Amino acid sequence: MIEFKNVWYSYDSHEANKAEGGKETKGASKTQADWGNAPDSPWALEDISFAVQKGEFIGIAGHTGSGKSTLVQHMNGLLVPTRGQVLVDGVDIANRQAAADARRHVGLVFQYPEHQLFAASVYEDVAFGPRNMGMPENEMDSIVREALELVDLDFEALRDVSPFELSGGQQRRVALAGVLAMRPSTLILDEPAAGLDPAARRELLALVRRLHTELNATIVLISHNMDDLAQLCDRILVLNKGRVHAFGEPARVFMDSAAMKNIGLGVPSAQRLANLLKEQGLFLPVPSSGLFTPESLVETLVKAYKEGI
Amino acid sequence: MAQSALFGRYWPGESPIHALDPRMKLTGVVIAMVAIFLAQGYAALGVAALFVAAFFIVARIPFGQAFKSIAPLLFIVLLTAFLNLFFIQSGEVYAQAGPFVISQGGIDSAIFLSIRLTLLLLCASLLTLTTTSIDLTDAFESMLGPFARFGFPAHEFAMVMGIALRFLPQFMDELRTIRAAQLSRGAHVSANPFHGGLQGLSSLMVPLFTSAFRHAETLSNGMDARCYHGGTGRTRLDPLAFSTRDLAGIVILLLMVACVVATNFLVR
Repeated sequence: MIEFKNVWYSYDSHEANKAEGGKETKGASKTQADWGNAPDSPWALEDISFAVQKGEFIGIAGHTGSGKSTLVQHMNGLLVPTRGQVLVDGVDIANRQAAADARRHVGLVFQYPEHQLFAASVYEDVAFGPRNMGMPENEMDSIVREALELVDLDFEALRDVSPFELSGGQQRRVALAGVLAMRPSTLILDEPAAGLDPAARRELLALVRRLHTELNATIVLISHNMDDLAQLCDRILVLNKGRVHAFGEPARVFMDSAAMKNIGLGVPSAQRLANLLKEQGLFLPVPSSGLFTPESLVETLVKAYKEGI
Repeated sequence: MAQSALFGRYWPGESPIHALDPRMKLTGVVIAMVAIFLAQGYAALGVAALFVAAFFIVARIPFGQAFKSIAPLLFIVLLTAFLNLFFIQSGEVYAQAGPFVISQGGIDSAIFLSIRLTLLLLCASLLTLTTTSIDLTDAFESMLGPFARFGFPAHEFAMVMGIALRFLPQFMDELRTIRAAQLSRGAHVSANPFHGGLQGLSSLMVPLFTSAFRHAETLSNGMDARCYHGGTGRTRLDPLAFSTRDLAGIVILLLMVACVVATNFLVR
């Protein structure tokens, strides 16, 4: 379980303290240009509180620069809150040792993880994490084999191949296996499907779903694709300018499509079509989940057509 | 974060110093550095410091920012001071421990060299704070121009320099991401290099180099796609032009040299 308690984060803690302290007048200290942060707010994250339950599938959505990546880097102690606490299984991970421990349980897959491959062979690269974690060397073969099989790669065929000779999609799987090999109970994925072709993208998301159902892993998925989020997630956290805009089940989050549009996000395409039809005067019965999927929308439309509207 | 403190990142402004011809600024920095080297006593160094301070005031760059921009390089200053403190031995001895002796001469040269080095760094950072990297490379190209007659690839040289400058912050960002990713896999990236740290280091350097090659390929394709074919026959949107303002700048800098030299003679 990962719990955020009133987390504030600033990339320039000095500047943030100044803004917060209130001793200095704000205008005077802010006359010069300030790189990296929006000049009106030194905070990358503001007062974030939420909890990810064990075994849950959480989605994180937000416009570019809304703080998604900053947020997930707090989950394994790469970043430490300027104010507030992050608890992993009840332990505050602010200090170095606690953060190192948390990294055993919380695997973080960065955007374009294949850019972080470095070893001479696939085997060495996948074994890097487990070795750092001090997993026994005599079990390494089975650890690497298991990780590669999880991502549908052939252990025997690939073990001695250089990761740089593989295709982009395969490289990404190897990188993913490198994190899975540490056997994390929570897996955080920052846009895992970015830059993949539609087929590879479907496969990868199916893989993530399988990790969730078969290994019972807690998953945190950052995505720009509302369709994916609506389909996969138990709950969705929507960030806007470093603040929590909404947190809840997909149906609830996507209910207010105008508000989502306001912060630069959409709603799942099936739901959007249903909303458009509603504007045109075609009222469809709302499905039990509260949100249309492509399948349920087709079904409802066919039914409505047969009954004659 | 370190990002904003990167040495001499351009500080946008419209001061007279920003508006100077970059070639003049480049020459000017050399002159100012000569002046600082000519200073032989604290008084002369003080005169040079006054001039440098005046330049920063004219450029409207706050002193805090000036020192922030050279902060990453201050360790050179400290190292020099440290070495001088122990290796220059003359005058009265204050403390002694084995082969290490702290003497009046050591203290003097440590302080003197620290001030001199700091001033030199400030001069260099004033150049990069007030000049965009494009202007700077243009200035280089223009000043290397005469050598092109003897086959020196002036344009290519400037282009390489410009690209290198352009990608420095980019690689800083990428290194940060790679480091975070490897830390997430439990890497000991800051551990000592003789104990498992070597792999930690290669886990940073290999991705960084592959990313550099990837960028190089994309960039060269991008340049090809825009019909880049080297410097021959290329015209400029904003040709560099030497103005009276630049002449005034050179005069002021020569005045600085003169003042420093005069102080050398006057104050003994």
